[in-house]
Formats: sequence, C-alpha cells, structure tokens
Amino acid sequence: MSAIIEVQGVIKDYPLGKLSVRALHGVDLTIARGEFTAIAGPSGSGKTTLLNLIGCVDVPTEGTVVFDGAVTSKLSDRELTRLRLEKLGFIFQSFNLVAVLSVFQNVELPLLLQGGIGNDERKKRVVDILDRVGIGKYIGHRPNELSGGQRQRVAIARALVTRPKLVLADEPTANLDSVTGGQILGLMKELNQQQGVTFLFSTHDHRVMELAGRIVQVQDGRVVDDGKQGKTPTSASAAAPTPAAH
Amino acid sequence: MFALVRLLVHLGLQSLKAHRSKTLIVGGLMTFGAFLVVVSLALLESVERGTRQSVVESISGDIQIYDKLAKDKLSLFGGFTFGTEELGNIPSFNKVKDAIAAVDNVRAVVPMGIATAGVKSPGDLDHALDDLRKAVDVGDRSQIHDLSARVKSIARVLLEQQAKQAAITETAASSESKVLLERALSDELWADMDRDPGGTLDWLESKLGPLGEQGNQAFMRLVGTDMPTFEKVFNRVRIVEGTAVPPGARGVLVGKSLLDKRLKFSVAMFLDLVHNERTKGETIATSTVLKETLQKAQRASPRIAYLLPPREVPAVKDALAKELAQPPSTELVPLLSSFFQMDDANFERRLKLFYDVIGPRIQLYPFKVGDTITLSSFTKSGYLKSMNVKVYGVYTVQGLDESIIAGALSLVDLVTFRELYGQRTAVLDDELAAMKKSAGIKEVDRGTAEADLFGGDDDIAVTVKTVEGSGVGTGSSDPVIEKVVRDEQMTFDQNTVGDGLVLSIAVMLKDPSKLRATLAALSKVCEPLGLQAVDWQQATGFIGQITLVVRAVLMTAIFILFLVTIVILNNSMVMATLERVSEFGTLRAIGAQRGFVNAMVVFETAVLGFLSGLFGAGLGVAFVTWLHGVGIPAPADLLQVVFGGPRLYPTVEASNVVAGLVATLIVGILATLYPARLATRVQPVVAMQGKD
Ligand SMILES: Nc1ncnc2c1ncn2[C@@H]1O[C@H](COP(=O)(O)OP(=O)(O)O)[C@@H](O)[C@H]1O
Ligand SMILES: [Mg+2]
Repeated sequence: MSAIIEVQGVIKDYPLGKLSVRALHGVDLTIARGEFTAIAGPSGSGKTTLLNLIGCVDVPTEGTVVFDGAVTSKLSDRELTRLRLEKLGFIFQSFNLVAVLSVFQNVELPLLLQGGIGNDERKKRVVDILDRVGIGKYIGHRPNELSGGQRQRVAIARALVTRPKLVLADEPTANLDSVTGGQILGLMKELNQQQGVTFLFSTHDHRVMELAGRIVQVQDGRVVDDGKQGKTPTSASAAAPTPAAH
Repeated sequence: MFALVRLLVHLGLQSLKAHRSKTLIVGGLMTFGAFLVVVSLALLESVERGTRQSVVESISGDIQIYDKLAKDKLSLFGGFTFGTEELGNIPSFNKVKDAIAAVDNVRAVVPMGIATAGVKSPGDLDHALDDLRKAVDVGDRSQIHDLSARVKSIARVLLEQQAKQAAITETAASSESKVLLERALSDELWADMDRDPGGTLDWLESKLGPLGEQGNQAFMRLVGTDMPTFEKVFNRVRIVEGTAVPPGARGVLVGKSLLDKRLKFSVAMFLDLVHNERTKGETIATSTVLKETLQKAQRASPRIAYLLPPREVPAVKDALAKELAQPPSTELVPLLSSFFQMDDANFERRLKLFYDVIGPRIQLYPFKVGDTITLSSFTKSGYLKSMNVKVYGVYTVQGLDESIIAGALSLVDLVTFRELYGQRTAVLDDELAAMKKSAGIKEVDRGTAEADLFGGDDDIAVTVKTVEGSGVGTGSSDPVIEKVVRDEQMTFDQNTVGDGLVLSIAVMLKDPSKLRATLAALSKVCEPLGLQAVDWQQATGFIGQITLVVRAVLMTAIFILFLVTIVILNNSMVMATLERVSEFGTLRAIGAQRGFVNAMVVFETAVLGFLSGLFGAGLGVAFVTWLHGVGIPAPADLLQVVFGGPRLYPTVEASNVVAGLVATLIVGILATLYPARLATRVQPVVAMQGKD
C-alpha cells in the first residue's frame, strides 16, 4: 500500500519581525493509507505546523511534502485549494462551523463547493453521514444550539462527507471534557476501522493517545519518537528519547 | 450551480441578519440613495417635460436653426445682456426651408426673427393735450369741454405735488412753473380757449406740456414670424382677446401677461398684485410688502382723478362716498385717498368696486385691441425707426396664463419685423450720409441706411436728432436718425413673405423623443448652408438651461451622497470582514476558492443593495405618486414656465426606478470591492489557530 503522505527533510521557518522562528527542524514522516496516527507533543512543539504542511494550507520552507503523489510546494493556491476540497477533511480544535448555517447546510457546504453532485445524491450523503456520526436528529439546528461534542460530530461529518483520502484533526478534543473527548476519538477510531478512513490527529492528551494505532512524538520541531505499528508508550514521559518500539 | 447561488444568497442574508446594526445603517443609506435617485429623476424629467411644453409648444419648437456666424447665442427669451443679440441672419427663409423640412422626423418649420421695440405711451398731460388738439381740430365742443377740465385737473394735481415737494425739501417752489400752473388753472385762460383755441392750445403744449410727467416707454420683445403658420404649429398659444393676425396683414399679438404685469395702469397693477398674494394666503396685516404696495397705490391714486372724464366723476364720487360712509360732497382726491386705505377686511370688496366703478371709466391699458400702436426700434443700421402696427389681439400660453415670462414675447408679422430689425446695405450708406449732411451734421461715422428708407414717399418723415443716452448700441450723444412711418402699407403678400430675411427657424418634430438623432441630422444639413442647429434647451437661454443646471446640481448631490455611502459602507464592510476572518479561513481550509469568498462578500452587499434599492425606489414611487396627486405649486413665475403650469404634477417612469436600483447596486458593489479583496486574502491557516 503506497503512502498517502511523505514528509522529507521539512524545515519550516516563520517570519517574526526581522528574525525568523524555526518551527520545524527537518522532519521526515510517512503516513500510509488506512492509518490512525496521533502526533503527540507538548504545546509549541510544532504539531500544528506539521499538520498545516500536510494539510496543504501551508508549504514548507525547505524539504518536500508529497501528498498523494503531488509535491505541495509546486502547486498554486488554486491547486492546493482544490486538493484540500477533493482529498482532505479537516477537524478543528474549535469546531469552526459556519454559525449562520444549519447543521445540514454546514455538512452540505463542501459538496456544494465540489459541485457536480445531484441534489438528491447530495442530500442523501449528508443525511447518511449525519446519522453515522449520531447527529441525525439535529439536522436543522444551528451550531450554537448544540453542545461542544455535538458540534465536533458535525465537524467530523463535514470532514467525511466528501470521502477524503486523509482526515486531519488538530487537537480535536482540546475544547471538550475528557468523557466527550473520549467519545469523539472513539467515533474517529470506529470510522477508521469500519470505513478505512485515514486519520492523522494531534494531541497532548495521553488518554487520547491510547486509541492511536501509531504515535509520532514531536518535540522542539523534531520527531523524537515514531511509535510505528500501534504500540502505545505506557509512560507519560513523552520528552524522553526512548527508542522506537516495534 | 443554482444550489451554490442559493447558498451565497442564503449566506448573504444570514450574515446581514447577524450584523443587524451594520445592515440597518448601510441599508438605510442605500434606501435613501435609491429613494433620492428615483424622486429626483422623476422630478427632473417631469420638470423637463414641463419646460418643454411651456417653451417648445409656445415659441421655440424642438430645434432652432440660425446663422453659424452669429456673434451671440440664440436666446429666445433674452439673454443676460441688454439689447438685441447679434444673431447673424438667414438672408432667405425660402431658400433653406425645403432642405430643412426634408429631414426625417421634421413636422414643421417656422421662420422667426427677434427684435426689441419700445412702445410709447404718452404722459397723462401729453395724452390729454393730444386729445384736446384733436377735439379742437374737429371742433367737438363737448369733447373740448371735457378735455379742458381734464387738463385743468392735471394742472391742479401738479400744483399740489409741487407745494408738497417744496414743503418736504424746504425749498421754494420754482416760481416759474408755479406761475405757469396757476395760469393754466385761471378762468381767463379757459376763456381764451373759447375765443382762440389754436393759440391757447399752442401755449398749453409749449409751456404747460413740459411740466407734465414723462410718459412710459415699455420695451417689448417681438418675435417676427409667419403668423398663419405660427398659429397652426404652436398649439399652446391661445388668443384670449381679439383675433389672429390675418394672412398678409401687418399686425401684432401682445402677450397678456405683458399687458397685465407691465403695461397696465399702475394702481390697478398694485391692486392685482395684492389680490394675487392674498389668494396665496398672505395677509395685508402681516406683510410689509403688501402694505407698501397699497401705499404706492394710494400715492398714485390722484391720477384717477384726472383720468376720469368730468361727467363720470359724480358717479365715482357717489360710489366711493357710500363705501366710505362720507358725505357725497367730499372732493374726489381725498375720497380716493381714503378709499385706498385698505385692509384685509375691506380689500376684496374695494377691489371689486374699483373694477366695477372706476375701471370701466378710465383706460386701464395704454392701448386696446384694435388700436394702432407705434413701435420704435433701433435698427441694425443705427436708425431709430418708428412704425405703426395694429394690435389684433392678446394671447396667452395655455397653462401659463399668469406667467410673465411666457407672455413676455409679442408676436408680429415678418414684414414689420424686418422693418424694425432693419438691414444695412452698402448702396444706402451714401444716401444716408448725404441726408445727414443736409441735416447739418458734419460727419456721421455710423451712417448707414436701409433698403427701403427712401423708397417711400411723403408719408415718411425723417428727422435727425441727438438722443441723449438713449439707444441700444448707441453712444450717448451720437446723432440718431429717426424715421417715422405713419401711413405705411398695412398689407403684403403672404405667399412671398418667406423670400426674405429671418433670424432663426423653429423646427417642430414629429417624435420629440428622437430629438438627438434629428438634431444630428439637421446639423449635417445646416452645415453647408452656413447654419447651426441647437435644441430648445439651448435656444431658450437660461430658461431651457435651468433644468440642465438643476440636473447638474442634483446629480452632484447624489454623487456626493453616494461617495459618502461608499466610504461608510466600505468601512463597515471592512470591520465585518475582520470579524469574520476565522469564518473565511475555515471556508478556505475546507476547500473554498478565493473567488467563492469574494462572491460571498459581494453577494451580501448585492442582496442588501437590491433589497434596500427596491424598498427605497418603492418609497420614491409612492412619494412621487403622492406629489402627482397634490401637485407642487410653483412659488415663482419663472418656475411656472419650468413646471409647465402653475403646478407641477410629477410622474415617475419605469426607467427612474431602474436607475435607482442600478445606482444602489453599483454603489454597493463598488463599496465591497476592497473588503471583498481583504476577505480573499485571509489564509486558510488561520482556521487552525484555535479560536480567533
Ligand atoms: N504563524 C506563526 N508565526 C510565528 N511563529 C509561529 C507561528 N505559528 C507557530 N509558530 C511558532 O512555531 C512553533 C511551533 O508552533 P505550533 O506548531 O503551533 O506548536 P503546537 O501546535 O505543537 O503547539 C512555536 O514556537 C510557535 O511559537
Ligand atoms: Mg497547536
């Protein structure tokens, strides 16, 4: 099975006044289709930066990110946008639903942007996915009428409705209590196992990591541990440069 | 695609709802803008139609054609300069007529020429002495008696005036004139009158005459034209008294408002003015202007005493004494003075009494329909030329009966116009020089002559005199040749009247809405003929241009309002965009192109612009419809002409509504360009950066 993502020697600098801050110091990472991977690391370690590069909302300063065979730094803004629309799904830390649209409309939005899908087909897909994430009865509600967990379920539905090749989630449980966070992660895991959706999510919550098939430890802009094959470190000392388990 | 547009509209509407205060401010501004555009365009176009009706169908025609080499611009109602304009000339109307008439959409062509002429009405004393001379010549004893009494009463008034003036200025009255006036009142003079009327009259004319007040010289702006054609083509012209000038006859049609507001007996004019203002709601008690006008009437009232034929005096005295509850034995002049002490309570009653009792007994106008008047004009060649013309009738412009401007022009036949206008020919310059020489003037640099000057016979009296500061285009002490034509031919051949000079040609169109195209076509035809064509707005000078000016002012105001709206709208949209950075970032992250974000913002204002435009235009239509119901009264005479009548009944056209809508939409979209651009610049990464 070919990799959906190949990150090779990626350096990312952010301009900060006249200086620049190096957020990533040469990262290599490969994500295969069907994986359920967590990127773990303390705040400021570069998780979001890495996800941005993989999610095609930003391009690396040096090195390459190859998404589904395309080198992102060689694509135009238009092409990157198209790529995000067709092949990626996003789940955000603060849900980022469009406040003035109903649950249904929020989920329908990416399909409308894609175009070329008939009305009935579109409706069916939206309703199906909402049922799948367990929010079917709130179809006409506005986001502000829902709880945080319900909102994140809507966000998951929105990310999945286009049947993307990769779903990225940047700290999807950070704004939720631990029980709800666990349920959301459980739902993601379920979708991964039942439908084969590839997930890549960042978190600094250890209990969340337990569900991950693979944990990539990031620290100070470097990958310090790539726990391939789903073994979860039992120790909370993520900072310790432990050898990768097999 | 349709679903996407629906989504955009939905997003727009929802966002408008979410930002309610912004929506209210911006929507309110755009509503007001649309309202203003619809109302002002409707009013402007209604006014343009009104002006068009006033002038196009009464005098100017849709298009006027005149000499390309004219020094001045054609301005039918007179321009800002005094005197007659230099309009060049069209040497023969018939030669160009057919070429113009052949142009598509031309319904009729009417030759025209403008001249300014003075019409003299003698002073009261001169008038009375003239009449007395006539009565003496025919030996009508009772007339002589009446007129002698009138001369006496005028002398008495003059004597009183002199005494009053002397008292005010504290200078002794000129003893010389006092002696003359006293002699004019003496019994022995009138005894002489019976014995030697001729000699006595000579004395009166030479000695007493100069003491009388100067007569009036009223200026008339005359439009010379082919009268039968004119009356056919200009269907707003109505003859309200007398008849049309028959074909081939020389004659004048006088504007009714010129008669009523310029030439009428002053006391009557003052009373009319007060009456008019009172009908508009003014009261004498509250208006100093009306009080002053009535005082003027009172001051001028002694004239009534000597304008009244002596045998009519008792009847007037009776009526006045009854009204004033005074003994009938009271003298007429004090009675008149009390009579003109008017207030709101007695004004209407006394006005009626004035017109019932006094009006019919004196002459209210300097001439009547049927009279022959003497028109004097400075011809192009520098002559003061006087000629007699019969007044056939009085006309008004339909719907503008009260307007002084509409009735300011008097109509005269082309032959008379050409005489008054005069034309310089080289041949006659010499003859004129010779004539002036024989009259004892050494050198006359302005000496010119007219084609027909010496073509007449003994009917024509030619005098050379120096007129102090008199003339149009004349230096203050230039010698002036005055030619008086007394018994000229009163008829001519109507069929050949077109073979001669005119100054301009009025063109009436079949379809006035195609004015621009026809004007262009006419200009092409006119060019090789040495002529130029202008539309009625230019041809009527400042009146035609009022609408242009008002349009320019209104459009500027609307433009400024829209600029302000754009700035405010832009600012609030920028603020709204900044508030929505995270929303735009999210949309970009999940795959919305920049174009979609751009469309989102533009649609939002487009929706707002459309709704408020519709609402504002609706209000505008309602407002104009209401105005149409009540009518806007013309506060001033000038506005009557512009309004096409005493009230403007504006109508709103579909095009006005469309213009209002389009204008608001354009403003909305212009104001959105920058904020929309800002929105498209929002990077998708912002979506990832937590909440805001
Ligand atoms: N837009 C930015 N401009 C400047 N520095 C940034 C920017 N985004 C992130 N950084 C810096 O890059 C480093 C990594 O940040 P980030 O990827 O957000 O970490 P994490 O998501 O693990 O908390 C941090 O030091 C942060 O301050
Ligand atoms: Mg982060």
